[in-house]
Amino acid sequence: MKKAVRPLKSLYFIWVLLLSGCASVYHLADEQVQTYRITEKTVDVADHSPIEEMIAPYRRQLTEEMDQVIGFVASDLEKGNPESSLGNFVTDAVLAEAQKITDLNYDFSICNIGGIRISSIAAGPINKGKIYELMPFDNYLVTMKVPGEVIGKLFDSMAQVGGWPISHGVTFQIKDQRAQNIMINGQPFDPQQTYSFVLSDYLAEGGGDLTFLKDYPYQNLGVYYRDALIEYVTLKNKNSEKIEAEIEGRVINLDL
Amino acid sequence: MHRRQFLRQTATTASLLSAGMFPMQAIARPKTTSLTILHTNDVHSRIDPFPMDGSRNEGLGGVARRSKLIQQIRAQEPNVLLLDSGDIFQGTPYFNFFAGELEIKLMSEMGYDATTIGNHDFDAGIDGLLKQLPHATFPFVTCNYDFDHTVLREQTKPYQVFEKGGVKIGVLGVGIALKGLVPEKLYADTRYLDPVTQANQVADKLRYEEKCDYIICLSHLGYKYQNEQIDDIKFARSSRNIDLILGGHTHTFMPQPDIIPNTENKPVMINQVGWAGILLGRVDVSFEKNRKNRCVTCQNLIVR
Repeated sequence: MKKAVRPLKSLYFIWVLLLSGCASVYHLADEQVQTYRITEKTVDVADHSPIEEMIAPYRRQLTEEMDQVIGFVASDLEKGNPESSLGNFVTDAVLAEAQKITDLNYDFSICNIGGIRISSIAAGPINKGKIYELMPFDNYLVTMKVPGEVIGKLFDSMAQVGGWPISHGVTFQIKDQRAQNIMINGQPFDPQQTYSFVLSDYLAEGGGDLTFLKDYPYQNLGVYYRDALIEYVTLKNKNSEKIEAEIEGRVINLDL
Repeated sequence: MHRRQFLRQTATTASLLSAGMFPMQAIARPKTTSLTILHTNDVHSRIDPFPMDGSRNEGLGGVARRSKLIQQIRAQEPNVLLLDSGDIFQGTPYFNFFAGELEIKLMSEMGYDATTIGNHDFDAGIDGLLKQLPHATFPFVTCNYDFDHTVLREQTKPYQVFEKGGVKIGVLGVGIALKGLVPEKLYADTRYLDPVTQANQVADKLRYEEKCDYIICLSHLGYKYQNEQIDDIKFARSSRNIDLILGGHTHTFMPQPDIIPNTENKPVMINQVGWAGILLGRVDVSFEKNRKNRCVTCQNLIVR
């Protein structure tokens, strides 16, 4: 048996040698790595470079749009936990917009704190670009109607992460990372009742760790959450009103 | 890991070293071909440099500067490949307003040779991505997204082969699992396939059928995760026939590339260059052409 195998093996060996020996081969001889940091200092660009010329019309259109002053902010708006002036502005604005669009009343609105992408808006004129920075994602404004027990879970979820922005008319306290003494528009929260509220499709689809919301349908208002904010500010300005939001004791964290 | 050296200094150091320490071999040096690979990842619609607003990255990046830098390198190097590892879209109002049109047009103008698809490239839906493809003069390579039941059917390629200075280079692409990361309505009926199985099949084909001398995988899997999720490190370890992985997704600024042994214990290099076009990565590869079955100059380059 052994004798029968040996010649085959050596044949195979020669065959491999022939193959590799005769083929025109490029051997990987060396790899060097470097990284360029792209700054004004390392690369000097002339204004008339073809690339700049390609960008220019788009940038012009964008700047025109983004630099548009759409309203005025009365005093600095800041983002934070458990309640913040910026968060109050956002949730009050989308609640008002949802009510305007559907001509229906909702019990409240929420926003995940991670969905607000800037830390503050300074007092003074506010342009469209600032709202894009605040909310760059194309999330839709949606509404949901759910049983009280789901609302209980929702408030506990918000309490667990130290509080999320919630609209005017709701108050609660965070104790041991749970929500307590929840008041909704002057009434104590009732787990037996049904509530309707305003949020983004991102959250309605279970984002922001609200997986329990996925089991319930939502109504898409067909408007981006961001555009609702722009519309709200624009309308306020038309009525010669400034954006005003303050911390008013909506959410109090007793764990701190 | 022998045949490679990974000095972070420039090529000059290496040639001085080899010329100084091995003068005889340096004189008898066989014919070599060099390839310069330039790469970006996660540019995220960052067309203009970051605004001067006191933020961490203020004044960094910008397509016009990157383009100029690429031009300068092209003027010096005969064989350049320009590649991107996905997430071209989303992050500035340019995307909100123009849906990625300018990003793709600029990449074509800069002469990108190939890209793969990142999760944010689905942000305008697969229809949105399809709409921008006519602006691309380069292929989108991906071997683990099955678009057969979508509008992107036959619009992407599993790989692309390039020939530069006689050397054949295969470029393939792998993408991240979309479920839970991208809303389902955006990726529609795209099927996610196992990146390791798919990439190994494609790399085998590139090596043995297409006879590629060097194989690059554009990856949007992400550099490294603590959990079981597939990342570039695990991918490299389970791969075969891939020489270089150019990564993305995790926005990792790697101080130096990683070298990971593959299933055949051959080294795979992994590199990733942060995000937003703040950096441009460059990998210079040299190849020695001979009729022997081993590389001569490679022996001089053992550093560690």
